[in-house]
Amino acid sequence: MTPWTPAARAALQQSLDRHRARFAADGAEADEVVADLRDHVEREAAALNLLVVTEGDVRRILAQVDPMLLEAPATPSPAGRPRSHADPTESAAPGGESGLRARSKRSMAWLVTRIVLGVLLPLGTLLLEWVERPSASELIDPIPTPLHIALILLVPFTQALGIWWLERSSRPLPRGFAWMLSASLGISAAYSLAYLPITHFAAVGILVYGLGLVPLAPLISWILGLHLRWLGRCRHREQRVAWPRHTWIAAAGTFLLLAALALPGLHTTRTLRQAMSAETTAERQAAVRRLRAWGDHDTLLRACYGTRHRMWDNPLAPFENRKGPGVDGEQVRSVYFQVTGRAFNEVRPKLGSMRGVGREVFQDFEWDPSIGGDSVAGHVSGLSLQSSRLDVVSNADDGWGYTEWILEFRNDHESRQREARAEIRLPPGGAVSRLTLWVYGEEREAAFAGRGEVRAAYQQVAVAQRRDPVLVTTSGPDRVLVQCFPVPPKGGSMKVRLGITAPLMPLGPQEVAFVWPRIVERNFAFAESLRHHVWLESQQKILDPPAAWGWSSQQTGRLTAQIPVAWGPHAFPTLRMQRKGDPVSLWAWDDRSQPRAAVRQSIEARAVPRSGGSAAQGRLAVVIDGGPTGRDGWQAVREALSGTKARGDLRVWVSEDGFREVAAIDEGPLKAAVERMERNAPGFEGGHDPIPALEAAWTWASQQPGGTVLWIHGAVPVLLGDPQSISQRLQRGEGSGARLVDLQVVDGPHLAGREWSSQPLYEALPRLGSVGEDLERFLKEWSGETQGWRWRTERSEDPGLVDGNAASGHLVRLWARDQITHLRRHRKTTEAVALAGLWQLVTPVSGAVVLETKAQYKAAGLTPVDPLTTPAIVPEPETWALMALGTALIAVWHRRRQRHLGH
Amino acid sequence: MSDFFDNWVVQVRKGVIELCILRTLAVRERYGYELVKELSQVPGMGLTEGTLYPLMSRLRLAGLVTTRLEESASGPARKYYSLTPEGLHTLKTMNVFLETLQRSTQQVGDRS
Repeated sequence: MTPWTPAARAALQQSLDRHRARFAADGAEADEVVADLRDHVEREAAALNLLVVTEGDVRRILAQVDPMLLEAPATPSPAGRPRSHADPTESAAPGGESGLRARSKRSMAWLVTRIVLGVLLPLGTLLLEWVERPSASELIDPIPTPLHIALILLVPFTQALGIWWLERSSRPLPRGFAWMLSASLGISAAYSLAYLPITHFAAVGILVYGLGLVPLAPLISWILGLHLRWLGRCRHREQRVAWPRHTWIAAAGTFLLLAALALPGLHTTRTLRQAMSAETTAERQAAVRRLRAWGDHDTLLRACYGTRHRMWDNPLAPFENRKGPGVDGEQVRSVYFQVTGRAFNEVRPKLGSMRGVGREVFQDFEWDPSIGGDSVAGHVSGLSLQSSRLDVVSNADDGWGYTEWILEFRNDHESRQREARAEIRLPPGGAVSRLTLWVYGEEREAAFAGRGEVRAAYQQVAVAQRRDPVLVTTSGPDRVLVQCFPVPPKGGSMKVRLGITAPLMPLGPQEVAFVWPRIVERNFAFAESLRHHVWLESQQKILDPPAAWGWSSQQTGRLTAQIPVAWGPHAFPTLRMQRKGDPVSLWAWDDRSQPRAAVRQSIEARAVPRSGGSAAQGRLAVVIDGGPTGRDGWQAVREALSGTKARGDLRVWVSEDGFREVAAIDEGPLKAAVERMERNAPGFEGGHDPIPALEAAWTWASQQPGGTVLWIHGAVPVLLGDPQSISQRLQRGEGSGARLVDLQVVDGPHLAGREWSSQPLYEALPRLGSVGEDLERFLKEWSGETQGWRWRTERSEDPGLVDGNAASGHLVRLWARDQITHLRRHRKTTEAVALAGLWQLVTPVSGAVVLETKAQYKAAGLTPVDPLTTPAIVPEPETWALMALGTALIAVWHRRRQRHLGH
Repeated sequence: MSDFFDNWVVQVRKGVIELCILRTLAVRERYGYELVKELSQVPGMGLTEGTLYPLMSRLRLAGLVTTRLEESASGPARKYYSLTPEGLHTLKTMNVFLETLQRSTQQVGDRS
C-alpha cells in the first residue's frame, strides 16, 4: 500500500469530518459515508501509483471525486438553518454531530447507563470488597492476590476507554483495544461463572429489596463488554477496517488464568472433603497424598478456621449458617496436620494485609468457640501479649530454681472479650506453685484444689458470669495450660503471674542446669514491641552466661537482660551453674503436714537400665517422625550414631503413612546403622500417626529386659490413632516392658504426651540444648559411656535427719510433686489432691484458679491461699516467723486494749 | 439554455439516479468503488463519485440494498452492495411506473 504523509491523512479526515452533517441531513449515515469516501480516495490514490500520497494529492483526488468536499459545507443547524463549519460549538466537538451536544435524550440516558453499570459499578464493587470484604466473608474471596485486583481493574478501564473512544473519535478502535476488550470479557466471564450459583438470588434481591447489584456486577460487566465489542465491530465495518482476528485467545487466556488461580483452592476444598468423608484408611491417605502434592495450604488453613469457598459445590452454601462451631472443625485440623505435619495454630497467620489468608482468617475467627475449653485452639483477632517479665532465683547447691513470670495481655478488638490461652512448657520436673491475678490493681492469689473443681469454677465464672478468673491446669509432661478471661475489648488488659518451682537439672556432681519456661502454643500474638524482661539471681556462679543477651550488668550469679521476642524460641539458652562437688544432703521442714517432718534431698547417679544385671544394656528402638519436623531428629540420630562406640541391638523406624524399618543392628556397632539409614531416608512430608510404629518398636524392645524406645518427633496437635494401646503398654508393662523416652524436637502441642505422661514407663527427655546435644547426652547415658545424675528426695519424721542449716521450702514442694505422682500411680487420688492443695501445686490431679470475689470462691467451695504462704522471689517467711509475727501483733493489740480499759 | 432547463435537468437526474443504482445492482452485486466508477460513467447523468455514497447509504438505511464485507487479497476489505428482496420489488415497481410515465408522456405529445 502506498504510504501517506500525516498531512495527507489529516487533510482527508478533516474534509470528510466537516461534511458529516451534510451527509446526515441527506438522510444517510454519516459514519458510513465518511468511511466509504475514505476508502474510495485510498483506492484512487493507490491507482495513481504514487510513491507517497501527499496533501496535494488528496486535494486533487477529492476535486475529482466530489469538488464540494473541498469547500466549507453549509450545514443545516438543528433549527433547520445552515450553520458554518466555523461554528464554535461544532469545533469544540471533533465528532461533529455525533458529539455529546447533539445527542438525543434517549441516547444520552443509555450512555450514562453504560458508564454507571460498566465503569462505576465494577469499580465500586471492587472498592467495597477491598474495604469491607463482604464476599470474602460470606461467599468467596474475589481478590486473594494483587493480580486479581489488576485483572478486575482492567474491566472498567476497558469499558471507560471504549466509551470515550467511540464518543470522541470517528476512527476505528485501535487493534490493541480489541485484544484488551477481549481479555476483559474473559475476566468478567470468569467472575460471572464464579458468582453464578447466587445470580438468581441476587436478581431476586434486587427486585425485592433493591440489593444485589454487587454479586451481579461481573455479569453486567460481561454483557456491557459484549455490547462494546459489537459497537467496535460496527465502527470497524463502517470504516471498512477488519476487526482483529483471534481475539478470543485473550478472552480464553484471562479466563483460564483465573481458573488456574482458583484451581488449587477448588481442588483442595474437594479433596479435603474426600479425606474427611473417606470410609477407609486407604481412601483417606490417598486424599491426603493428593493434598500434599497439589493442595493449597492457605485454603486448608482457612478451612481450619471455618469453612469457606463452597460456592462451586453447593448453590445454597452462602445462605447456610457457618458461623458457629464447625461440626467438622477437628477433622479439618486433623487433615491439615496430616498434610503439612504442623499444627494449624503453630504459626500465627499474617496480619495487616488487606488481602490473602491473614485478614480473612481473622474475620472468620472473630467468634472463639473454645472459651473455657481445655485446648489452646486457633488464634483470635485483637489479642496480644504486651508485657513479659521473668524473675528467677535459684540455688545450685540446693538444686532448685523458682521463676515468677508476669504476663500482661491486651485486647484491641472493638467489641469482643477475649480469653487468652497458652500452653507453657515448664522446666523439667517443675510445677506451678503460685498463681496471681491483678483485679483492679490488687493482687489476688489462687485457690488450689482438684482439677475438676477448679475447672468447673472457672467455667462457671468465666463463661457464665463473664467475670475475672484465671485458670492453670497441667497439659501433658511438664506443661500447663493457662487461660484467663475476659480480656476486655478496646485496649483492655489482664495481668497474671505464674510462680514455677523446678529442680535444677543435675549434669554432674558439680554442675546443674537451669531451663527456662517457654510458651509452646498460644492463641494470641506477640506485640511487636514485646521484650522479655529477665532478672536472674543465683547464689552460685553461672558458668556460661549468653553473650547475646545484652547485659545491663553482669556479676557472678546475677543476670539481667531485655530480650526482644523477635529472637525466637532459641533466645533462652539453658544456663549451667556451678555447685558444691560433694553430694550433700539438704533438708527442709515439711511443717504443713502432721506430724511435722523433714524432707531431705541428695544428688545421686542415675541407674542405667541393664539386662538382668548383665553389663549389656537392653534393646534400643528409635522411632523417628517422617514429617518435616523429623528431619532435624533424623540428622541428629545419624550424627549421634556416627560418633558412638556403643554396640547392641538397634532398630530404627520411621513413622510415615504406616511405618517402615530403616535400619537394624543385631549385637553390632550402632554406627553401622548410619549407612542403612542413608539408603532409606524418608521424604519428611506431612503429619503421621506414630502409634503403629511405637507399638512395633515397643514390642521388639520389650523382648529383652531393659529395652528403650526413643521417640523423636515434632508437635503432636492431633491424635490420628487411639493412644490407649501405648498407654496400656506403658502402664501394664512396668517391670518387664520397654520404657518410652520422648524427645520432642520442636515446640508445640503434644496430645500424646498428655495421654502417656502419667504412666510409669514414660519419660520425657529434658531439652537442655540442641537436638544433637540432647540426643548425644541420651546415647552416652544409655550406653553407659557417661554417668547420669538425679535428685533423690525423702521425707522422714526422724529428727536425726536434720543437721546443719535448713534449705528452702521449695525442696518440700519438689518432694510433694514427686509424691503426688507416686500416689497417683497407686490410685490414691484423694491423698494426692490433698497434698497438692497443702503445698499449692498444679499437678495432673490438681489445678489453680483465681476468682474475683469471695462469693465466687464460696459458691465454688474453694478457698484462696493465704498470700503469706505462697513462694516469692524475696525469701519466703518460715512458718515459725509468721507465728512469731502473729503473736507479737496480738500482744500489741492486747496491751493497747488493756491501756484503753485502764483509762 | 435557461436556468429553467438547468433546474429541470437536476430534478430529472435526482429522480432517476436511485433507479440507476438499483438497476446496476439488479444485474449482480458490486463492491462500492466498482459501482461508483460504473455509475459515474453513465452518460448524461453528470454524477460525481462523491455524491453517490450518501445515496447508497440512504438506500441501505431504507432497506433496499444490503452490504457485506469481504477480505481482499489486493488491498483493504471490499464492501459489496446487493439488492434486498424489497429493493428488487421496488425496482420492478419503479420500472413499471417509469415505462408507464414515458408512454403517457408520449401520448400527451401525440394527442397535441
